[in-house]
Amino acid sequence: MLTAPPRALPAGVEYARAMSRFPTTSWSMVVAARGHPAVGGRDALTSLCQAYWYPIYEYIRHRGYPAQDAQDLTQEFFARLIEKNFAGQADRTRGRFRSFLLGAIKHFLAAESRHARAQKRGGGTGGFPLELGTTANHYSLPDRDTSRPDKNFERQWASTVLDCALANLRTIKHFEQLKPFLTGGDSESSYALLSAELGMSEAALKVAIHRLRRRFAQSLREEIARTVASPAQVEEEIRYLLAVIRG
Amino acid sequence: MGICPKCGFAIPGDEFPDGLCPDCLLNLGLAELIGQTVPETSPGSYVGHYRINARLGEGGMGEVWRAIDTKLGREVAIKILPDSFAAYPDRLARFTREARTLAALNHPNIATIYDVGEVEGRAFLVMELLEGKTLREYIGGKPVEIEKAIMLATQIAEALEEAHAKGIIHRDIKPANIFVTARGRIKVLDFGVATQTEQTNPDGSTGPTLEALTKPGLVMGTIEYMSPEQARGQPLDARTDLFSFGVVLYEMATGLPAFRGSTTALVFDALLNHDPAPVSDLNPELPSGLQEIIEKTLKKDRGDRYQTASELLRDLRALGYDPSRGLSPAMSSQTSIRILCVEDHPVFREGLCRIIGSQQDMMLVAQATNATEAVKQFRLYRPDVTLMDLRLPGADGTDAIIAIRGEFPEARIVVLTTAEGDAEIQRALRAGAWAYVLKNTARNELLAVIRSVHAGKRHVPAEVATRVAEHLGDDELTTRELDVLRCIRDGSKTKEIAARLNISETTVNSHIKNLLRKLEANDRTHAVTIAVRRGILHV
Repeated sequence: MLTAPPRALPAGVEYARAMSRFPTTSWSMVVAARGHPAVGGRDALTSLCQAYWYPIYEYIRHRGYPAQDAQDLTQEFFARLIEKNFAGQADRTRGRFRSFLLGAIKHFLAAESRHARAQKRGGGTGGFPLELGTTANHYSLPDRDTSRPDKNFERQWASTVLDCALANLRTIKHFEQLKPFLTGGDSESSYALLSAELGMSEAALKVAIHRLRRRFAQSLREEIARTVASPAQVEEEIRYLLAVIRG
Repeated sequence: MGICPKCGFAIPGDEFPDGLCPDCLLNLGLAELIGQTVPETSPGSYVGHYRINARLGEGGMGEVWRAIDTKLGREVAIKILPDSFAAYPDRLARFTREARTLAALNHPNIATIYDVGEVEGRAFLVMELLEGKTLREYIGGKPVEIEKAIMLATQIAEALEEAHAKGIIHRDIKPANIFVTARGRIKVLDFGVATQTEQTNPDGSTGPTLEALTKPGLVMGTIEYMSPEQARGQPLDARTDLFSFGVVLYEMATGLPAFRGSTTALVFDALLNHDPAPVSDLNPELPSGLQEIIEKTLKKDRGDRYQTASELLRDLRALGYDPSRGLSPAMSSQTSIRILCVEDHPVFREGLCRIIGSQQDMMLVAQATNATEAVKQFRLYRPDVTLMDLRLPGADGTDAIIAIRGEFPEARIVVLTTAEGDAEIQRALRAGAWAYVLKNTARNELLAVIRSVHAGKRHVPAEVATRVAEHLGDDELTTRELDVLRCIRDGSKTKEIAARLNISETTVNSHIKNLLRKLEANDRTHAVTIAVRRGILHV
């Protein structure tokens, strides 16, 4: 049971997305949390729950559960991860954490009944100070394929990984102005406009954009590398995510 | 929902972060993984589709790496230009333009450029990978063996001839820019790239940048090989390369730089105002012919130097080195006349070959049966004398003469034909044929003509000359055209010519156009060369 009721947080996709980010240190955090009740482990666990709630929540919603039930189930799921050491059984040497989570939540939902959830609610572990944002708006996002919760889960995964990779770059100077050039907008006129705005030469701007792209690429690969079994799987994971977002 | 301008992916409304295209974002990571960006270059990284293997070195124009062209599976050298080029778009554009021009050069003694491009703001150049050493390393402070020096110098001159014929001036001929492969072949590097070290002065002339003048080390190495006009910041032409060539040849012959000084100023002074120490003092074994060549290339006044690389080549070849034979075993005072025979009639051609083969001082180096092959063989073998039948299948012999002399103005071609039509003869002579011989000419007379032409004399039978002379007036230069031509010889530009002759610039241009046509010259320099050779003009 949660030690504190979820408080209503400002609605907004951006905030919710920030809160729902998959922690790219999820594997290491989970391992750290397992068998390590010290402060560090607890913090890792908390961070894990804070980060993973949204994709899990979305999956549960797509499975047909109402919002409140989905919220409760989400919290219970993470509680079970700790209580039953589900995550501790995750073998880092096999598979991907993404796959593990999806498998785990399916197993969890299969084993739970509505009545069992109602009974267990409030018992068990001390729960987590899990702060869940308002979710209704997210669920009502357009173009959501409700018939394929697995696919949606993985799309959300891809979105979160990209968001994490971008988050690591937000401290870069002029990031917001340079951001559009990450994926396009490379016209001479756009260079000219932005370089004038930032007070730098176009050549210097191009170099800055190049460096930003490289840093993003590096950040992205690092994010993914933390959730796969080996560095050799990074390229494969990127290709998989490409296939996911392309539908 | 938006559409990515780069890949066309339909970006879902709020699903992906910041509204950026997830496809492109993921592909950035993928590209980095398989090395499609230009990192701070390191082995294993990629520049486009070139995989970097090892660093070869670093020069003023950036780092040079050994790489693999993953598309063609061949090793290449890739030069990655410094960021400073990206900072000056005009320099990068000029570099790219010149690189494309260089890519049009196809000569065994010029390093081949395969590709040029820009990735993520950094420019790169892909060239053939060379195994060997620079001429600087090859010389190593000691005189090069005479025969080897001539062999190498001939190849350098051939490279210059090729480039100059295409309107390209190197501007930075020096031992560090000349490569000697393991097989002894010369490769001239950085053609045209040297212009990046120049700036355009307010008067439109070009000269070394202040950086080039003041940077220690770099300045000394560059200045030593500059031509006087280059050092003065004057407009340059192909003769500047010939001077620099002379400095290189001097160093090959003596092991010492031609112009020395402990400071930049002293080197400049020597370069501009003093002749170098006579090569004979430093290397008494040097043949007199080679000494004369070196001295002529190092004339301060470019009007006194060889005017073209072809002229220089002629004298180098006359020293006795035969590239088709490799290094000659010894320097001989007798020179074999290397002959290209262009004749489509097999019996007559065989007869000519036998006549040539019977002569001690002649050597048949190549044959051709049509105009196209004739041009190709000339390029390959650079004969001393060409025997050219006028009536060939397809394009005729005169067309071949025009084509050959267009590339090699110094080509000496003897026309052989049974035809006696004035128009045909006139056309061939106007095309620049040195001699005209009928096929029923006696064998000894033919051989005498060949030797005469090789010695630099033209030969037109009296009766032929008379007939041709009746028509030559049609294309004679007028007095005013001669005046203009003399001004061009003196180095004057159109504006200066107009002022000097008190005529309008438009009129000057009109005269220039006419004299170019009459002389069948490609440009002003060519016109002066032709005019001097024909005795119309004197230097």
